[in-house]
Amino acid sequence: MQLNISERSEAMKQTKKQINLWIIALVLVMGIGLTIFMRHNAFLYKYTVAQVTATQTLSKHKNEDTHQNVDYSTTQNITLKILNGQHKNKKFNLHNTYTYSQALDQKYHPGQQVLVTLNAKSPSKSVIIGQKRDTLIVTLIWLTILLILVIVRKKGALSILSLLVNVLLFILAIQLELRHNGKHLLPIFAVLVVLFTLFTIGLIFGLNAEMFVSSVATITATSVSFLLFLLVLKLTHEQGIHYEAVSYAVQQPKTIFLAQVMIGVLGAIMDESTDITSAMHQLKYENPGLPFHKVFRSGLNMGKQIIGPLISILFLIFMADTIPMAILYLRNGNSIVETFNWTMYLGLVQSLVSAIGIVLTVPLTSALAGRFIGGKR
Amino acid sequence: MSLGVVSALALILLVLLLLVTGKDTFSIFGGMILNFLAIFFVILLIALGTPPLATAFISGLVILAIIIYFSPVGLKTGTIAYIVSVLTIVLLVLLILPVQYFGQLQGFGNETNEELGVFSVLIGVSFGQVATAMLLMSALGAIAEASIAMVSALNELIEETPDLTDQRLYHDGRIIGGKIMGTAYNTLFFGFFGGYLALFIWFIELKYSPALLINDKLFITEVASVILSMIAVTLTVPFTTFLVVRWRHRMISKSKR
Repeated sequence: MQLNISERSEAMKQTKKQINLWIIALVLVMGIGLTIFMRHNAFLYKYTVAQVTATQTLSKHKNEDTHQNVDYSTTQNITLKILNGQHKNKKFNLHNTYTYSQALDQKYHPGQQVLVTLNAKSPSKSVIIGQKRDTLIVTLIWLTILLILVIVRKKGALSILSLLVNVLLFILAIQLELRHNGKHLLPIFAVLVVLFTLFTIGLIFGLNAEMFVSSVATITATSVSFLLFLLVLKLTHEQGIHYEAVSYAVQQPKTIFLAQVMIGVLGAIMDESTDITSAMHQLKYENPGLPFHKVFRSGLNMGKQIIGPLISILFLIFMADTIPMAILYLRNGNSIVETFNWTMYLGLVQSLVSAIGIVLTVPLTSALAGRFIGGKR
Repeated sequence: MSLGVVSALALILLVLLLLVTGKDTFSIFGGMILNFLAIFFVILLIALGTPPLATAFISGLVILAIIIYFSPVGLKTGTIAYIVSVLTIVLLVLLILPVQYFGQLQGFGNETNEELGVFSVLIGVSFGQVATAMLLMSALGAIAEASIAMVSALNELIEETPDLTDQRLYHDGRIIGGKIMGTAYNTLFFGFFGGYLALFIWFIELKYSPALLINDKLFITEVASVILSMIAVTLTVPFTTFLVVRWRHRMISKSKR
């Protein structure tokens, strides 16, 4: 009897394993198919899509700017074959000039596909809008999903789903914001912070005391660090901050920067508070009678270990963004101080506010866990 | 006398760290300052003309060491976490190179043109390589954090139950990995969106068609950096489990002798 049951569960394990293998094989085949499809999806585009079939270097000039930077401009003749529309399969040539640094231009190679504004009368006057990059991104996304499914399986699938919902909420929020002409950016994002938190943490814990503790801690830590930031801005008269340096923010760069600060740290804080909460839940489960101050202490102890690495995650994301612009500043003869002030200052401010939120989360979560998580069940 | 925003925020952070972490404040705050200096150094070196990707890789080794050894983990745990991180960034570079080759993600988008008006962009630095350096740097923190979390959790597991079979350890490694990954993806997701909210608002404001968006250089660069970081973080799971299984064998055979 005993043997029979274990045999049966062994067989079930086998079938489960086989189903998993089939799912992975299916995702693999689908991905390869998808990549091939993306390479041949020109018929879906309203823009003219063309493929570079040959290139030829025509001339090369040396160029020295006022800051003694030596660069080279090269003009190439590109032969393009149209892949869609009424001129399909027609070939034409155009000239493209690129520099060694390729800051705003690009060298083209045979095999690349591009989007073109076609000038049917004189095709050599057509303009390349940009390279077609959809194949790359779709392939990358698929590769990631495959990897996550192979390595972390079900849990991985669940986190992908949660990210997708977050992306949708995000797009919805920006749409809503635009409908109000960007007047209510901050309130909309404040509501969004609450929604993101409840949804993501709810998915991790379900509806229970842990979810309550973790969500309240996340929302409180995010708001308190944000309010502290506003207070600092007021007291220092925003000294040192150049909102003009917020990239792509044409209108109201200050509001957009504030929203960025609010959203950027949310993931890290959720990560931290869910980690501490589930550890404290485990602790209370094993020692139901544990008094508040002991749970609190042990939460602080755990927090100490994760604060540093969490701060570095965001720090590197925010600072790495500034690298190209900082190099451009330095090479254009700006001093180190000027470069810092205009390219890295905002990233540093965002990192510091995030760090403050990350530190605040530890005592908040520990206190709430000590108070509200019961030892029964 | 008035205080700059950065100094004021740094002061608040320092006080909070002292209150919450006590004597660990020194290593956490010190680690931040060293990391900042390392990033600043990378930028200076590249601007002086060193090859961008190699510079980022070498300083990446240093930054990983700073994050891992300045966090309160034991030397043994730290060293395994460091080895896992280094393996991961080697693989990440091997992924970044084809992504840059096929995506040509260098330089600034059309979106930035106005800002660049006063600058000379013919600066003799390959922005293609700068893009690879940027992709590598932005993943470093996440890689270090994931490997520390993975190694600590597995270490605790083998200490509590030393007689686990290898197969069981691989299985548990996957479960622990799943938990760590789920939250790590969130950190990355919000971190990147928080860094580029302005860009997304811009896209929607200017009503970029899906066709333009999915081929746009800046948009693809952003998505690629989130995805590459996610891949890197995911890779720490099998790497850590593999190393811990091997390392445990060595420990057992040593104690038998």
